[in-house]
Amino acid sequence: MIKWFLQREWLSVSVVGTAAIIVFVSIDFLFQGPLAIGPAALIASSLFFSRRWPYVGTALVAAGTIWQLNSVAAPLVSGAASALSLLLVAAFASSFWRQVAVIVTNILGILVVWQSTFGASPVLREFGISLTGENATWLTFLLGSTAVVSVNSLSWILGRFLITRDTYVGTPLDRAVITHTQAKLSLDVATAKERLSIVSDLTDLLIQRISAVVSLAEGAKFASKRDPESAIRSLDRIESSAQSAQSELRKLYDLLQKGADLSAAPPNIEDLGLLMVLMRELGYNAKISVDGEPFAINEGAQLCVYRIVFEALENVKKNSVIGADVTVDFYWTAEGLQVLVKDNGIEAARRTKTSTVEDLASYTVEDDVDALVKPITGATLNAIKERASLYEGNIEVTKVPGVGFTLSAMFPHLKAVAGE
Amino acid sequence: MNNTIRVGVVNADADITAGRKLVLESTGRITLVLDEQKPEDLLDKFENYLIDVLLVDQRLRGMSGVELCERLTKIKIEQGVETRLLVTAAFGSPRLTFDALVAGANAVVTQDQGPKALIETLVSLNSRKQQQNFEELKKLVSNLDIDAKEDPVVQVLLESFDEFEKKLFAEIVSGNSIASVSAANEVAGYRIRKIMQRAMDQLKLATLEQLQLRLIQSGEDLGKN
Repeated sequence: MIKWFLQREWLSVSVVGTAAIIVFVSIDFLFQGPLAIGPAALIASSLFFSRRWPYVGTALVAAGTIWQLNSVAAPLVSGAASALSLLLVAAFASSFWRQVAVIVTNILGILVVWQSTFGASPVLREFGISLTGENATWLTFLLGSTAVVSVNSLSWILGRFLITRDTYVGTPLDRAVITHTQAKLSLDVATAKERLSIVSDLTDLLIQRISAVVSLAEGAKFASKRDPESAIRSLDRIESSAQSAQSELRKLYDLLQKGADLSAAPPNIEDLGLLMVLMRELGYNAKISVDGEPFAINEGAQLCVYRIVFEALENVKKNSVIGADVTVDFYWTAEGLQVLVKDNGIEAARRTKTSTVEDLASYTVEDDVDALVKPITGATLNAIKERASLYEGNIEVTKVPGVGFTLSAMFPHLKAVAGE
Repeated sequence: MNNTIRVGVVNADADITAGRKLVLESTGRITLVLDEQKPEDLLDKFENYLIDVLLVDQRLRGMSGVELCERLTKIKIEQGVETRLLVTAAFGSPRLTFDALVAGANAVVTQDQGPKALIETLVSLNSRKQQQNFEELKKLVSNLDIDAKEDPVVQVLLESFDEFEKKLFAEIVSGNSIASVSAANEVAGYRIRKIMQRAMDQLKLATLEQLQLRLIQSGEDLGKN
């Protein structure tokens, strides 16, 4: 169902909205009379808007329910449409509107229950239920309220569950991430297994050598009582055996150290391609370009550059809306490197809120002044500045008014400092 | 009569053998008559050397010491060789002791027990003394969580004994010497030896430890008469 709403936005809401109006309004008209048509139609029509404009859908539910409270004074079957509307809001709206919708729908639902129990609603009497005492009235109100909140909450949870399942579970992105992780883990396990086998062999040799040293020492101790000369000969062999053991121990040490390096193999500049693919999968228009002739740099410098770009992209993910453009440009010179990470997060965010080209292009004087005088700071920025300074680099982050942010990492002497 | 103990060593490491040689020969009673690094070479020479005790290192080239003991035990049974097998290892474990004894070794000595233990065990083996008693072996099997399993060959053997023979057999298996069982039951020693020989031949075993472990694993209760 969620797929249908995603792929056929207007068709789906038109079908569901029209069906809701016909069914719910007809039922309410039959049971409550002509007075119910207006509020029922308003509540049911919220389904036309909840997918695209959650605030309109929620407002219609609120208006219809308030009208119902003032005119019909009895619960409407159309109330079910408000739960459906909430489901759509939960699935498609932003976090803020999801919260607003669930609060508003629950409050209105509780008000309807209040009117049905404490008010002059004839609905309970029609079912032959008479609330004789105050306790019975309160109990009925509490049970009714609990039921309303439960149904609304279930709708909300179902909406979140469906959209989450559709967006993430089993999607190409999900599968790509799992496959990538699995492949990486398999490689790690294979490497570790191989290494363990070598460690086992080396340890075996080491035990043998140490056993020989112990055996010779024991022999020398026993033999020295009868023949001191033999003890000196034994010492020579002990020395040689101990040296051999030390050599095996050194091999083992080297292997374990190499293992530590391998297991923590740092990412390098080439891995940024994968990062850009990930950004695109997440919905950003990410591009990477290389200008000039790249030269080989050591692992530490590669990690530094990777880290800078990684943090810049993390910042884009945190502050920019889905659909924003992100570019990573590498400019290699004969001696150095400049990396520019640019995004149009501000522009993209504004685009989602405005409809005219003029609005889109405009930015205020305050924006301009802020961009010029307000320094951009942060712990992450300080950390990457420190990293860059290790390679005589510097980092600058600027806000482009009305567009977004630009991070510039300059390494003017990278070849001299970290070239290979 | 010459009291020298003729010892053979099979060890992949020449330095370890050199150390052992110094320790053993320092006693003045032990002579190293055979020193082999490859187990195959030892198998070729084994029956021709009159070795009293053979030290078999657990770590060999191409096979383990326990595997070599298995093959040597077959030769011992077929050729009637009486060499005692002593397995040596850098570190010991109950599993190693069990496997070695089942394979036909008479004892296991590890390097951490020290050279004195090696000499004492070797001398003790030469005098045909059993290194583990029946209760210790039972405990070993129990510690390794080895389940008892019906053994038809053992059952046939026990059924072939009359009550008196079974009593004599049980007393020997539980660790008593032939002399003491003979005296206690007023029976000739050769008769007891014959019973034991019959059992060893039927079960194709070379050592008393093998017989004891086989009976423990079979779960047969020899009873006390």
